[in-house]
Amino acid sequence: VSAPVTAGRAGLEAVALTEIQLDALREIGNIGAGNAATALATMTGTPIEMGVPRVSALPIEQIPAELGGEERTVVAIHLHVAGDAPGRMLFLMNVEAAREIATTLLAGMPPGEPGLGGLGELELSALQEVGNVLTGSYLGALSQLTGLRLEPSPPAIGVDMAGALVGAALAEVAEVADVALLIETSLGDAAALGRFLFVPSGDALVIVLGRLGLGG
Amino acid sequence: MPALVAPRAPRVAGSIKVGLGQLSASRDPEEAIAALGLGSCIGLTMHDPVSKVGGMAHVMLPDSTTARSLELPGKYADTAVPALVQALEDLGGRASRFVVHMAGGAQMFSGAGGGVLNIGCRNAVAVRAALQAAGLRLRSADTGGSVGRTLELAVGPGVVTVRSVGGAPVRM
Repeated sequence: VSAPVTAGRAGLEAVALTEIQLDALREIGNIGAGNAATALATMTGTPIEMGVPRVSALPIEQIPAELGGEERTVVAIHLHVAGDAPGRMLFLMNVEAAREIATTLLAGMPPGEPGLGGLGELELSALQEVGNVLTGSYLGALSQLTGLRLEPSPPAIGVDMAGALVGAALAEVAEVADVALLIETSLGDAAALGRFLFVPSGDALVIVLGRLGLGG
Repeated sequence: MPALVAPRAPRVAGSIKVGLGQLSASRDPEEAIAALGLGSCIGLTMHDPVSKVGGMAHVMLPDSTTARSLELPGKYADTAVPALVQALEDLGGRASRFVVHMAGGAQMFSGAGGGVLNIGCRNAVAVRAALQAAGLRLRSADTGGSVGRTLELAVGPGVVTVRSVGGAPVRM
């Protein structure tokens, strides 16, 4: 991307992202997901690969189509971020990868009564906890890097069509903004494990860039 | 209310995919119009069995009063209903004959972080209210719960089907 990405309305007014700013935001995705990947590798005892983060400022309604695979079943961990740079965080895991991680973590314990998406109740709790740790490490790294106060809500979990989960998480953002910044980082070889989506809403982008010394 | 200029949904080989906030109408009897992976959103279909015109809106939010832009009338319940009626009428449909279905409006996340506002439920209520305001009767609705849905309308016969993860399409 060599031309500046122009974002409109709702806090992103007159924000044209330069290459330097995009780089900085990619670095946020890198550091956040890197920290999370380390945490996951520690939990499961397996090294985790990570892709190059993708950053885009998009009208919110274009995000699900941009991510693609609206009907594919995924496990989604969703949480609200409050504090200096409010927004939404989503961790989308492929179901097979999620089941493997849950099995590893349960270490021989039974999966529990079947719940969402055919996963056992204990598997779901384990995955919710994975989501908690991963998003916590992502935001912790971001907070350390920028000095911003970021407070994650307890995570919610869903297992269903990717479009339905992403759309539902974005609907709340859409009530207050038209455009959102999407920082996407894939985990696992060729995103086989899953993807992190960080969507700072409203003024959050301006604040983050300002804190990185890249505002205005 | 801005007039609907053209359907914004992409057309691919006989099927139109209606994305978030979009709406689309057609009078091609071979065409299918679909909204994939509806979560808290509502898929709203209208079909005129006489003129064989059909359309769908993918409603994301209940209310346009706080909207900063009405570029996408399909995005809000209160603007989507009149815009979809208009789109069908532009193709020769008559509102008094419309058969209306809707699906979606689920609460997708369980746990503390999900659904404080429950937009899905608010969307369903708002679409019903907008239909009533437009004098349209809802033939059937498959809303609520906590499952994602894909909604499809076959334009010619006006057959509407809904399916969830791992399920077969069910006729509405």
